[in-house]
Amino acid sequence: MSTALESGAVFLVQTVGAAVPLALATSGGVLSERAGVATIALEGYLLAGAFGAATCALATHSMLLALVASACAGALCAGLFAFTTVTLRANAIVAGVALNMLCAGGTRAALKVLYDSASNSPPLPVSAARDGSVASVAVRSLASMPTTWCAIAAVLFVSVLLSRTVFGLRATAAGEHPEALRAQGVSVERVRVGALVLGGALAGLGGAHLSLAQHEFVAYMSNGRGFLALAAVILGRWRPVPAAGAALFVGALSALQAVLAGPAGKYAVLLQALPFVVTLAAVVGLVGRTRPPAALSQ
Amino acid sequence: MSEVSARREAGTLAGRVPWATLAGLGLVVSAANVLFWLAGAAPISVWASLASGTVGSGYALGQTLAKATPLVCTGASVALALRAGLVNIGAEGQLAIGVLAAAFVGAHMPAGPPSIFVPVAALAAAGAGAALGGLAGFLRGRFGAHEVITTLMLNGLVAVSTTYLYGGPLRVGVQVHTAPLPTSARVPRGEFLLESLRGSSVNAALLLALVLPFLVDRWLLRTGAGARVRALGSNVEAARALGVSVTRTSTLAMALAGALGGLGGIHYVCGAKGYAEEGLGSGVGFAGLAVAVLARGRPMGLLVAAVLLGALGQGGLAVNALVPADVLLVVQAALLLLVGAEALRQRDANARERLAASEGT
Repeated sequence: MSTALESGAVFLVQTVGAAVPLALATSGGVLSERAGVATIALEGYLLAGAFGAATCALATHSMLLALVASACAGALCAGLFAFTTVTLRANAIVAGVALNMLCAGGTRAALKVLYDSASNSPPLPVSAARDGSVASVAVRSLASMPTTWCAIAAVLFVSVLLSRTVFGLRATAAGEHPEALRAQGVSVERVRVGALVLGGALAGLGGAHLSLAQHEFVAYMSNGRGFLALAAVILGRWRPVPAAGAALFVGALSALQAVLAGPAGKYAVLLQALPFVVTLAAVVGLVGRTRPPAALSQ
Repeated sequence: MSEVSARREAGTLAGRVPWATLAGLGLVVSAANVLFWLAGAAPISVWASLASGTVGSGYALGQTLAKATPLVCTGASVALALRAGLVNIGAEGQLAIGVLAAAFVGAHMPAGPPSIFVPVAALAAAGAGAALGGLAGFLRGRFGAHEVITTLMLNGLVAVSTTYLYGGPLRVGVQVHTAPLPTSARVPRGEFLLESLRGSSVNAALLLALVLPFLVDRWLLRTGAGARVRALGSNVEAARALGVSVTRTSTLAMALAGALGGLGGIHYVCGAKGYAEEGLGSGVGFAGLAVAVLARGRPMGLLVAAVLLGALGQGGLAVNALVPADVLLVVQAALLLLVGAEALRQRDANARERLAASEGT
């Protein structure tokens, strides 16, 4: 392969690789927010999922079980979040900040207790492709990660769920006209809890990609991706496929930073700033009109 | 609970005790005990270690107060925004940009009396924070862009920028921090208050922090601008009908909130460290939300909550031998979740009630 093609392939792989955890967290966030609950806890879900996947992989050496564990970890956190915001009617922003704190502190404390390290876990038993050109190794590594396929599936799943299933339509209604839903005799609370927990599970899977791809769990490894995912949710106008597109865009930006490393490295900060600037422009209305689900502004 | 019965109950002693808060605190203590036990230590020894590590010596007390100082600032920041009905999650970025501004301006001070130059650095820090907060407030008032989203995005922008600046253009030599401040821009350390505080990071910025909540409260209650901010917070439509400019008032409220958050930078730059580096004040902005929510709008409450959370922060280092320091971060999260979210919920419920009553439903 010519080096230009190789570099192009590596860039694409890095874009998709960076976008996978974002797309999963974004899909979860879309579902959660469409149901009418402001979800800034995505950061916490990612951390919980990453930690869950790491500990399960170390204990069982099974990739499948690690994925299940990550989804459960995310769902558990979302369950706590749902309990406080929906059942106890607490303020969702405060609860979200608290949950992020809980996951950041909890995963790092558990890391210390379980593996006696304040920064990283032992390396995970994940096999890595090694032979072949840089590009082919990259492509095969990405394709062999089940979370990559989970991300694609998750976007389609949430899209179909919201538009064609009874649950999805109820979730949308819970976010737009909860009173109408209640008048029909449907429990808005139960729909919201369901959407939140499902969203948390998806975001947890995104966290699994983080630790599995890096072959270890590092303290605070989500590193703000949860907020980037929230930005993608907003950029995508709370619709699953456009939001995933926004996640891909953010992934491309981080891959571009790797390309720019070296002499043009000081411009990397502009690329890092771009998602935030674009989202700001979007909510102000400079990039088309943004109308969040009606129940979110409460 | 309707306003009438609330006022009646508040008159009695039983009405004044915050039962819900105490119950929440009890739950948090129980949860903490479970966490300590799970982490492999006897709860009582953890509490003892926490006590001795936070108030058991002059140094410990100094460190606790040092942690509390910026928390008062970010707490006051969030509390002020809450009075305007706005949720300021941007204290994290406002503090960071205050640190940056104070370090940048302070590093270029000429020699001279601190009484002139420290206020200049403070003004720079407050101004930078005000610019950030004011932008979010303006976007909310003018375009309806929710301040939670805008402040979160601004947080991200500031974080990215400071990482770049501290590691690159502003870096001085081998260590990754900015140029140190001359003594003209520094405030005295804790020992000028009490000799036993020598060696800890507490400094004269504490005095600023002690008066800030009361100054802000006075401003809110005694000035016309403060009244407009409070009007905005209680009922936007009524405020608009009264002729209050929503755009101008939200901009003002958020700008002041941002200034308060930025002022927290003085503690680090002019007091404790003398320069700025990556990671200063990390997490203090979000903890400020906890401080504000726990304080329930009372200036004294802000001080108490800030000291409490400062103790939790300092305590992490003390208990590290028994349980991982981050367990206390979990306790802080539990505190925010159980006690704090409840407080804001009550406020939301009151607001919904007032709105329903005013609509005649």
